[in-house]
Amino acid sequence: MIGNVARSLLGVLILMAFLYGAAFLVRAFALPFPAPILGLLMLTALLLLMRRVPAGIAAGSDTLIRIFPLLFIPPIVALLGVKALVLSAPLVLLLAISASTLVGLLVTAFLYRLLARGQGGS
Amino acid sequence: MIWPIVTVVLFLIADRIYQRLGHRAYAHPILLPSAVLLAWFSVHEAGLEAYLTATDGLGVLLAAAVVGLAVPLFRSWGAVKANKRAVLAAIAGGSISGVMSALLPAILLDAPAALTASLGTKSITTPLAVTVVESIGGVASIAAAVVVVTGLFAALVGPWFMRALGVDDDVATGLALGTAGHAIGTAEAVRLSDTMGAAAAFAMTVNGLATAVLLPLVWP
Repeated sequence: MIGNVARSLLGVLILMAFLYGAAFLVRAFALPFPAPILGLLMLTALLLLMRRVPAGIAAGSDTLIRIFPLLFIPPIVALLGVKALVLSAPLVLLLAISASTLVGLLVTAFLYRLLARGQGGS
Repeated sequence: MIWPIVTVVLFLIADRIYQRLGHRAYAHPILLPSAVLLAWFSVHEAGLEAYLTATDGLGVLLAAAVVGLAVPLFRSWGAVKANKRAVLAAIAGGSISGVMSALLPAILLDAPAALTASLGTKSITTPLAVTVVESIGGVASIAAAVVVVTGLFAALVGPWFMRALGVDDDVATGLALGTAGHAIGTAEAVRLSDTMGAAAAFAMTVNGLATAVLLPLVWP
């Protein structure tokens, strides 16, 4: 139990080290994309080189993905600060969320079925 | 110090309920804490600023969580490798059609520019959306809310919608849930089957990354 918690904490610290390393590179070279994305690319490259996921990194990633919803809460609460902008176009928001999500689901599933069949897959 | 603790405790309660109910999308652990805190700060508006400052630390973890997405990306490669061209084309098509169909009504109905920009990131996971949306002139908190509600909608309606359309293939359903419903759709896919979960994790990461890198470049 304690070993698992320690391993998760270590993993989260490793991910933060990647994040800060990426943030340093973004600033030093004035790169055009956000630090978390560069960190994600750097870690993916490392995993591809190692051909496996070290236990610490796996535990850290699993922990953070599990608490993903917790991390979304402050940005949602911050929505109160821009209430007027949201209420200015409720119909647009409703359409964006419902109809366009169905379009996205439909196109993805059908394109895959069409092309996978063409390749002889299932 | 009190606000991060309140947020975490509310989340733990909501997460316990979510586990009890067997991961039903309508009991998603983001709903209860958000509803309670939104209600509280609608009444006590003066405290909002202090809340956001106090919970800044969670933002750092959110950024670290994005880095951690490398793990599901690496792990899920095996599940999609067999049909990689079909998989990548499906994600690209679903992503582009999803973004275009969200922007079209906004443009036709002449919505405020900041609102339109905040819709561009609707199908990518929150930490990516929040980091990207400001570079195209959107508002992080609107983007975050649109992303979460989109994800819940995809998780609730998606599996039913796929069955109604006669899609019985786990890879196809997983890709659709991950592309349109990011982390929340992926959580639902993981619950339904391993293959579906792996396909969704891959779609979520690829769509998120591609949108995050390309959107600022093509945004007028």
